Amino acid sequence: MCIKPGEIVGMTGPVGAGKSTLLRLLVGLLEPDSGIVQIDGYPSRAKKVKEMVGVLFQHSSRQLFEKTVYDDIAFGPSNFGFDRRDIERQVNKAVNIVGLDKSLLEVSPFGISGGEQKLVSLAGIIAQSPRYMVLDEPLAGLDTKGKTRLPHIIQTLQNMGVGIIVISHHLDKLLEVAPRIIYLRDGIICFDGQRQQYLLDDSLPLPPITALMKRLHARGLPVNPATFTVESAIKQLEKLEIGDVDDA
Amino acid sequence: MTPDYFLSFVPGDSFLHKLDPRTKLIATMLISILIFRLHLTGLVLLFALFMVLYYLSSVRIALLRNLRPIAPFLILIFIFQLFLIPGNSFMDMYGFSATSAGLFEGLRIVGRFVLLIQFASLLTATTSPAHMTAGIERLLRPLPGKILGVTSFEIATMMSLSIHLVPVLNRFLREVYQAQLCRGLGRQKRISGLVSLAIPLLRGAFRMMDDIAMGMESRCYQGNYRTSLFELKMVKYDWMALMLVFVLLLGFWNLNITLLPSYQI
Repeated sequence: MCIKPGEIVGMTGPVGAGKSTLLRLLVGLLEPDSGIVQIDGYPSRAKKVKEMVGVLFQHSSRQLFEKTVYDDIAFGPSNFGFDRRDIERQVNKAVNIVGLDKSLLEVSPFGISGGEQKLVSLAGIIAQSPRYMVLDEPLAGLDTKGKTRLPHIIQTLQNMGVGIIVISHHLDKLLEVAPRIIYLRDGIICFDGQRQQYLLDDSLPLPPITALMKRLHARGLPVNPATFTVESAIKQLEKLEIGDVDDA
Repeated sequence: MTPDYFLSFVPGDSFLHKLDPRTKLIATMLISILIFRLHLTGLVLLFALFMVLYYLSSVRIALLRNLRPIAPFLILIFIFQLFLIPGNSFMDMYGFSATSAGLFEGLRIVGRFVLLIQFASLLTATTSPAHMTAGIERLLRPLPGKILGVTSFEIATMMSLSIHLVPVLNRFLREVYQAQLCRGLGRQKRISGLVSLAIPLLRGAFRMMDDIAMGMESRCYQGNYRTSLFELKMVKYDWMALMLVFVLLLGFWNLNITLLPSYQI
């Protein structure tokens, strides 16, 4: 398995498949029993790796502790020895990317909502300007606004050349952001390839909308069986003519 | 099999495991009282008893590791006793003289602590937390709960909750630690590193307690009598064991053997 800078990889699999273990291996929190994990040529245990790889943990709001949101976002960069000017710039950039309200910067991170806390911890990681990021269930706890915002955040980061692994159970959202999908089961990579191939593989779990479109396609309707967003499904269905449905 | 934590339970089916928790609790208490009555010879005899029970219990507790948390205190106590009790001096160091009376007194006090800890660890190693809680709850039931403001049932709940949540908190702390590690913890700012662990841990713990309390109340927990999931029953062996311990207590109470140089047994 290999991840390039600026690549977005979606990782999914049932509970206990080893997603979180893989995450911990990637950032050097665990040592592999066999094999090697390297990040830009550094072994995963190297201190530099912590700086290069940012991790958004599943229960990321648990890591907040500072007096204000600003201080919390600045915690990472100040540990890595950035100077104060840089930190301010980094924090502002990160806050802009995640789309956090500037007025929140001076309040306590414990007084804001769960979704905002998630964004604050995400901003804290972006402020470290990592070269790679691992996001473990970034959607959990986000409200609708946050959920629609997340693909944009990931897109922005990709444009900055950050390699991103997104771990999630929300297949439809994952397919939306990640052109490459890795499916884990019982600690083994069952699938690693492009989104389109994933959608055509019948042995893997699919989002409901894809399953529906596949069934329609099998019935002879002229729809794309590899559809994974509701929007595109609606467009395709609207194009259908009464005759098509009758034929099927 | 060695347990992970200090004073933790080791599953098994020895006769000590099968005894009623109340028997073991009362026996441990009686033995603790006895430990404070005894002098050096008696402590050695009691240690022999402990070793017999230890081998019968078939749990392998790390006997020395149990002592590690209090080892510095034991060493300090011993040194103070050795040098500060007046008597026949057998060694002089920097103006202080070590006395034989001090040596025996020091050994006696250290021996007491060691025995207390070892018997306690034997109790916890052979009694599962659930049984222990049930036993304590049953023993405390005659207490006038209304007057004290807390009933034995509430004490039991508090105990079992705190016992069960220790590993949970442990895991929680590890999670927070890993998250902060990825944010560069341990590079600079030592004190703030500690803060960055303590605050999320405390906050998480209070939050978890709040959730648990709400969950329990919404399932009608009221802090009074609840059906126990297993029944405690004193059988013949329990009474026999208690009798034995009681006989031991009475027998040793005022016994005066001086095999080892000390005033009393």
